Amino acid sequence: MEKAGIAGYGAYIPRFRIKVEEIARAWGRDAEALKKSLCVNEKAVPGIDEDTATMAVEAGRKALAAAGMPGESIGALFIGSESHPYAVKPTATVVAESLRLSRGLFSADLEFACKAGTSAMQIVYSMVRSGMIKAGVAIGSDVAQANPNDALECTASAGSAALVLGSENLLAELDATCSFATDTPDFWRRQEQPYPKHGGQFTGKPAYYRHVSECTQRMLQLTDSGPQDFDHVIFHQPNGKFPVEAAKMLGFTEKQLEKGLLVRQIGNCYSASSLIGLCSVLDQAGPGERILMVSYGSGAGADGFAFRTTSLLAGKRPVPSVSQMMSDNLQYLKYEKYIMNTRR
Amino acid sequence: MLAAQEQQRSSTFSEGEKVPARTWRNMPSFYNLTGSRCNGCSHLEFPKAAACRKCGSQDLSEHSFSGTGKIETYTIIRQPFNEEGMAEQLVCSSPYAIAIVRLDEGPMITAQLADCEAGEIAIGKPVKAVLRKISEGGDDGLIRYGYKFVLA
Ligand SMILES: [Zn+2]
Repeated sequence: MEKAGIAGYGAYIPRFRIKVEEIARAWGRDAEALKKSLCVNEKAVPGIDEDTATMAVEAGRKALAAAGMPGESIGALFIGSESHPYAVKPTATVVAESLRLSRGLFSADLEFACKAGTSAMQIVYSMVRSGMIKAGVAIGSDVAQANPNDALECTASAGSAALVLGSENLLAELDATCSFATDTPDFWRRQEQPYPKHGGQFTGKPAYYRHVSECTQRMLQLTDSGPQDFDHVIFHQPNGKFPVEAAKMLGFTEKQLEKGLLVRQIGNCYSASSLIGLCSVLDQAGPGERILMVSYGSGAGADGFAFRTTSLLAGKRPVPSVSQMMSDNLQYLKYEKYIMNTRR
Repeated sequence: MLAAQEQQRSSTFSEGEKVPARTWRNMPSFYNLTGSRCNGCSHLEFPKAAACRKCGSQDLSEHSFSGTGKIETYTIIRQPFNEEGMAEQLVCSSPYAIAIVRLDEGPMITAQLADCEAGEIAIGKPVKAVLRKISEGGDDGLIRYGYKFVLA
């Protein structure tokens, strides 16, 4: 079996932000209480003409350029999202055409709440390892929807991340992956409904914490490691509280978590959430460092991945970096403009 | 903006053609700025030409532009759009900016500047092409994607 890992990566975060204060002002709610309960200060908002497909193209173009690979060399494209622009008509073909990928492409759109992007990674990874393709692209991209005045409105954000997975010129090797899933009704959206519903408190213990910790423990077993053996850990970030609590519970330190914890400034980018965290870690990690990533998707499941960076990483970093996209040229929106940009 | 962009793309626009066919036919230019290069004199054009404007040769091949350039000039449009009866709903909100961009490779191209406020725009500023939604025919129509420019 082929060795496989990351040959290129790219993240995209729109330039627009809205502060929790501004959302609270619009609804006459207590901003400090919201910020304290969610541990989120502001979130990324798409431009009026951006959607899951356009952001996936931005991330994909960056990842291919970082990998130094032409589109024709890519054999598969899988895109995970819970905001695919069409109910019927793939996001993947729009993105493949824009990235000029090969016509013999294996491709599909995936859905599994916030872990659809990591499901895409597992599919592409296994195709590379089986020798079916030389390299493929996995993307998590979302313009998250929230019912106005729902607590979710303070976190549901927009972003995209793309990984080129291959077997040559790797900037990080993928040592192992596993999943954990059960039928857990914590969050759902029915056909043709614009906004999701959620089970409130139920989203914590039996949903997020159970799946993330089961998956993490399986990953530790699979890699014969303890929490201290990893330099960095990334958990799915639905708010600023859950990943911090999960890390504490599972024996990871704040230092291991900090480079990939972005939710306080960008919110929850759903399928892109843990992946942008990974991109941020790759932007900063040294060679030979070990990274554990565990995503979470409501409904519910978690996917775990163990990576080991190589000496090629330093020479393959995309520009702008995640940290630049989080600090440069930001534009803060009033609630009215935010509604215009997110109305679908 | 419809007028400006469609005029720019007039060579790839034929009267009476339905949206799906036109969308599909224009994908190379709309998605990847694919124009033409003259095999005789190397002259580059966008959109794709049938014959070289410089030497008249019909021996042309496709050329995709890098998408980086500078603002040659621009205007801010404050008129609301998307009036009733318009065939395709444009995806932008007024006021919005339309620029003539000088691509690094030479040709000029008219397009919307996305994501920016009037005060940020200036002649000579570097820009880069991005893929954005151009129009969507209401809630059940075809989404047409294409290039716009953002400040680089
Ligand atoms: Zn010529």
